[in-house]
Amino acid sequence: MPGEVAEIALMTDKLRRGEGAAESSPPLARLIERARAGDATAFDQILMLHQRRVMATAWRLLGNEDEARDAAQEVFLRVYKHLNKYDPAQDFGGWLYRITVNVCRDLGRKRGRREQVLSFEEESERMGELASPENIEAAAIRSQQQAIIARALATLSEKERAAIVLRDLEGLATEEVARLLGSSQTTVRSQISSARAKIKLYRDRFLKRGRSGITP
Amino acid sequence: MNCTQIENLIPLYIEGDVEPGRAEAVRTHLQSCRRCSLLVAEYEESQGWLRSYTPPDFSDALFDDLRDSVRREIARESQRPSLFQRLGLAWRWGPVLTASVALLLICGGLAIYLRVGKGKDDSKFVVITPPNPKVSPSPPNAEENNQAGGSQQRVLPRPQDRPDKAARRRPPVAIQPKAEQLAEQPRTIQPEAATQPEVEGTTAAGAATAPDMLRIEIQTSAPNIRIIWLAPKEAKAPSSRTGADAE
Repeated sequence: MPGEVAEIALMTDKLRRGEGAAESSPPLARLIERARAGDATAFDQILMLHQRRVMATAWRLLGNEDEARDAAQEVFLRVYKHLNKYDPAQDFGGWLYRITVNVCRDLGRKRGRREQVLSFEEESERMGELASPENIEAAAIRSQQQAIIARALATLSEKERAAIVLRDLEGLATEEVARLLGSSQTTVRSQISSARAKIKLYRDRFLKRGRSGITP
Repeated sequence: MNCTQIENLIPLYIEGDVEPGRAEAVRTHLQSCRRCSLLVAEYEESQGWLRSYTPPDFSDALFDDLRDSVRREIARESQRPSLFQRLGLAWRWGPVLTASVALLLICGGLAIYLRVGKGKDDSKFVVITPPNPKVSPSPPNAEENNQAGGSQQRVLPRPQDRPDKAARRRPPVAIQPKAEQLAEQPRTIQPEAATQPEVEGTTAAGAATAPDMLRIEIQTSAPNIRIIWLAPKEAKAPSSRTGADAE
């Protein structure tokens, strides 16, 4: 038992340093088993193991830290509620991704009701503000650049955004993305292709409006 | 493949999302097409730009706060009684609740029954009238009544003929037993105007009633329905008779 705790602590430390959770599968299975039996400490350890990944995915999907935090909280609550339904034969990471995507979609819809999501054309209109020479200079700053990409992602449809985030930013294979989103591979490929083209177009327009050679 | 087809494949080609056969065709095309090669380079730049979209280094405090809030929510969820528990709690009030509901149902049912039953009494009846057209003044719808087969009994009314609610609620006119002397056709029955005034009908019918017959007229709550009872004079007149009884 102390050995297992040390192993978990080591894994948690690895995760804090940004290393993957794939290596932790054998103890993870045991943790899940214990958490399903009602062990709160085991659930806490699961949370520790996956919190960064869930936060990162939620942030990429929502583009906002506060909303990503709310999403992460909801994700772990759903994990807790539905842990008994989880099939140990399936990949826990994939299951977690699916919950994360669903939660972010729900939150995105709520947000969408509060403030209308900008269309690609509307966003292009507003791009002028960001592309002024002063702002282009400021856009070199990382946070500014993140905001621009976030805006570019915001012009995509919900499904396109989920597909491109999972495929290009999370680095999942197309088959896995298709499985997670419950779509066919053909559909996902089409969504990814469309999303990449839109992102490129957004970037091209941004560069053109900047009227300078500064990379956004 | 031409340039248009290749352009459509490039967004997928740049990340290796094209099947090997097609990817080879794109590669071959790119070797000879400068324009498409440029497009590939632009896409690769765009993808590099997109990949720079990395999350910030979230603080440990944020994760501590996240875990705390998850724990709090879980504790709150487990304290909250489940649906079955809530139902169980409600069941303590079961007997009182059941009795109240039952009482309400009984009262409601009774009210409906009485209301419907009253309406039935008012709407089903028998009219027995003397058939002598000479004596009895013919109302506008007397012919229609005759066409009903000349039968002595008619069950009325059809829904559209039913008297209005206010009329049904009106209390029936007091029974008016009248011993009238009838000169001819002592036991015949004649259709009588539904809308005929009571006095007129009584007088006219009374003139036609046989001397040994007792004529009793009952005006129901419906203004156009009257029950006329002819009985031998020796027979004791019924104290009251509703349409339903007559039927």
